[in-house]
Amino acid sequence: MNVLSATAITASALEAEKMRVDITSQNIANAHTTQGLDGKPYQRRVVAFESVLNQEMGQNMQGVRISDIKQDQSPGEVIYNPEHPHADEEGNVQMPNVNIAYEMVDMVTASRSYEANLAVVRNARQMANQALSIGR
Amino acid sequence: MTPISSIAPDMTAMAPLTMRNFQPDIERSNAIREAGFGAGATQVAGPDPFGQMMKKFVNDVDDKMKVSANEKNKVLTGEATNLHQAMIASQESSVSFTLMVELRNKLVESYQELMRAQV
Repeated sequence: MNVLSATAITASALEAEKMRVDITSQNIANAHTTQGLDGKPYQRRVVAFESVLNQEMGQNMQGVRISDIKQDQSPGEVIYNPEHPHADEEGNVQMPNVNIAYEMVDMVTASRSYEANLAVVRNARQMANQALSIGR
Repeated sequence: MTPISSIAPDMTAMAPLTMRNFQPDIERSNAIREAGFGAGATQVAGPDPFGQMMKKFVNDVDDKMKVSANEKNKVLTGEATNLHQAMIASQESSVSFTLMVELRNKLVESYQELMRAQV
């Protein structure tokens, strides 16, 4: 018995969008990280989605999941700051390639998509409740 | 006046005849009573199928509530971070509970309708 069948698909989208916000938060948090785990400046992460078949509901119901989290390989800014602990011999510091403005735009998109998917859940519940009030 | 003894052989001849006529009906009604109550019960296998169906339905709703409680616990204890999953599960259980209540209301309503019938 599955009363809110549409929500199975929507739940996967909510999961994916949440991951996108998580990744954006990671990018913003590391906007000034000049030394990542690999010793190099932080490279911003980009997520890619892929559709996935919902096994229970058949061919035409496709959910979504994160297929890949890739590093953006574009070079970051180089600033001159000899005081910086991570500055090279010439006093240059390689900064991460994170652009806060881009990240904010990404975050707005992700949170709006999350909102849209929540609206689907709300609507599915409303439809079920309306169907239940047929006899009244 | 006809002597009673002249009718008596007729009566004894008729008695087995009438018994033979009703016998199939009695057997049929006995068969129905053994299979369950009413004619519908003979069509569905197993005793008390409606009660079983309702029991299964109530169990389904109960399972949904358990799933919902479990998801909420997971979120509260930090085992899972997907809030939406817990909320969706709780919505689902609430909708199926409403469905159950609606069904019960309908049943009680039909029962009361029957009880109100003029005898």
